[in-house]
Amino acid sequence: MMPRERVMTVLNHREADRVPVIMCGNHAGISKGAYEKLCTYLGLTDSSALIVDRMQQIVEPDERVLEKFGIDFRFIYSKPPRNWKPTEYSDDSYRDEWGIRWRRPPNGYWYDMVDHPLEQANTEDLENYSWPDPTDAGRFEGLEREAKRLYEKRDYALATALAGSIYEQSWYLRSLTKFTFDLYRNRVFAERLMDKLLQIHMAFYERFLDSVGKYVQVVFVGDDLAEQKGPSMNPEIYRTLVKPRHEKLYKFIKSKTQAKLCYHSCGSVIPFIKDLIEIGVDILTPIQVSAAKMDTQKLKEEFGDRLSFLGAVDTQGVLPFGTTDEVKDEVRKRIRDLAPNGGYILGAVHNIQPEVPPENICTMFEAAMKYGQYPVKVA
Amino acid sequence: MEQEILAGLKKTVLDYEIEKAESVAKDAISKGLDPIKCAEALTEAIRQIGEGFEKGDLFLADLVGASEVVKKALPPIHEEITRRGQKTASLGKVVIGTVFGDIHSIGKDMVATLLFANGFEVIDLGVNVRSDSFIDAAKKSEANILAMSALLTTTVMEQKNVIEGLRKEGIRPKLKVIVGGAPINQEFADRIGADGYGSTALEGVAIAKGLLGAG
Repeated sequence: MMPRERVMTVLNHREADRVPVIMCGNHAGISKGAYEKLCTYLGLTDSSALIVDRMQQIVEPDERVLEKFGIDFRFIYSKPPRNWKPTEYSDDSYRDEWGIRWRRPPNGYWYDMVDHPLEQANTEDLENYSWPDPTDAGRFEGLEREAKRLYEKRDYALATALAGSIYEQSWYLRSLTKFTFDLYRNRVFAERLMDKLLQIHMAFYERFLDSVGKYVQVVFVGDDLAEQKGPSMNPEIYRTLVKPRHEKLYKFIKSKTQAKLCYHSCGSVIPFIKDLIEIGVDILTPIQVSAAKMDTQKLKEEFGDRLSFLGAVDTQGVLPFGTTDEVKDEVRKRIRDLAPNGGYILGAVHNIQPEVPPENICTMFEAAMKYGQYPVKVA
Repeated sequence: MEQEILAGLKKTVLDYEIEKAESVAKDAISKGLDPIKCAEALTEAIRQIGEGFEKGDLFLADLVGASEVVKKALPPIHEEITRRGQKTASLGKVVIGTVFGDIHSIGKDMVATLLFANGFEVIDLGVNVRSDSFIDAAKKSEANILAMSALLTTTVMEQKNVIEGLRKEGIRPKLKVIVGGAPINQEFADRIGADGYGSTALEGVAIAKGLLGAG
């Protein structure tokens, strides 16, 4: 079975030849540090990786690596805008197109936010703020041609990188403290800010999906709603203020493409899953199995007929610190729990970080091939 | 009237009224309220939020919002306590901060707030705190506990550096050290010679109490 057919079979809740696997994109991919070690381990001395997500330092792996592991996906990324460049500073920091400054600490793996440009803003300021231009032609240059080529000449499932954050982007701009206050006490501001972001994302997706929508099989969206212990925001506030905006955006995306919608939220997301299914989410990722109550067997039992799962191989404990036998056991468990009747794409929970030994990355995908053949026979 | 004003202070925290926090506190002081009772009203409110968070009825964003209210409301109250020459009953003095090279503050702020809510005097050094700043603050304040947060695997060794610095200064036996943060675990805490490790903010508070024999 070719990768695209395999992925679509499984996402339509049927069993394919094997469980599909992923190690690419900006939320199910691999960090620069981990990738460099992996290339050394594999003897790929001539591989140079393109960074596709600067803040997280995520790279697009070499085709040889993707082929070696049988990765079923390839990603399509929008390009940088023509009429804007990041402001660079000498302390390894930069200002992004939203106006937020990010700094990487010495020897750090990624960049942290160091300021929130709308922290002191009022509602009127939102109209005059220098927002990114979602329709800058540079973003879409050559995309349709590239997507068409990948669709017609290669057989991989095509996906788009995660975009369209409304809740998270709001507090990135405003600060978590201030935006929490806004959600409870200054709803006019909260709603205006989120509506502005919604407007920007819809304008982006209109152009983006006009170019690539007919070629892609999965569109990644997301907003972190939870943390290790449980929700990070009140689910009722989510339902009242954020969910309607998510719904509008996801309906719009689905009006422009037949692709499945894959929603990313870290953490213990159980209280939000029904809501996400209601608003059109087809796949949930990263399935942070180390977070509270994220039991893959129970998730499959409760939601598996309506929702697919992407990720689930533990990234906080097993992948970085486990033995290769522990990695194999982890892969077997997730396949046993999530793969029956389709609906599972195997990968690390979130991006693979630099501590993960290359042996464990190799073992993860070898085990996926060995134990992920349908019908699943893992005890 | 006193009860009304104290209830108003408490409500400011429970309603995450960050913008009003300082003015409500100043107003209470200007009306002659005992600042210790004002501090207790804030403590009670944060404790309520903390309990709600522990039960799962309230969430990280709620704790962050409430912490910010307390941060803004406390300074005028503390100023008045000092002016009146009063002393608050305290389970102990804690110096807390996020280590050098690390600017993550949410976890540390939660611990600081909950320590305050549970009767500790808290000196918060903020984020990106150099080793010598931790040591100086611990010495000057005669802290009972030094609490350090690190959220990055690349900054966790700073906690070890601080502990070694405390030994070199000869003050290590005089205080307890608690560490926390996502990449930390008990094994690491033991290895670097910390006295305690909390995997959650509430656990950190319980450990602080236990280390000082405060229940």
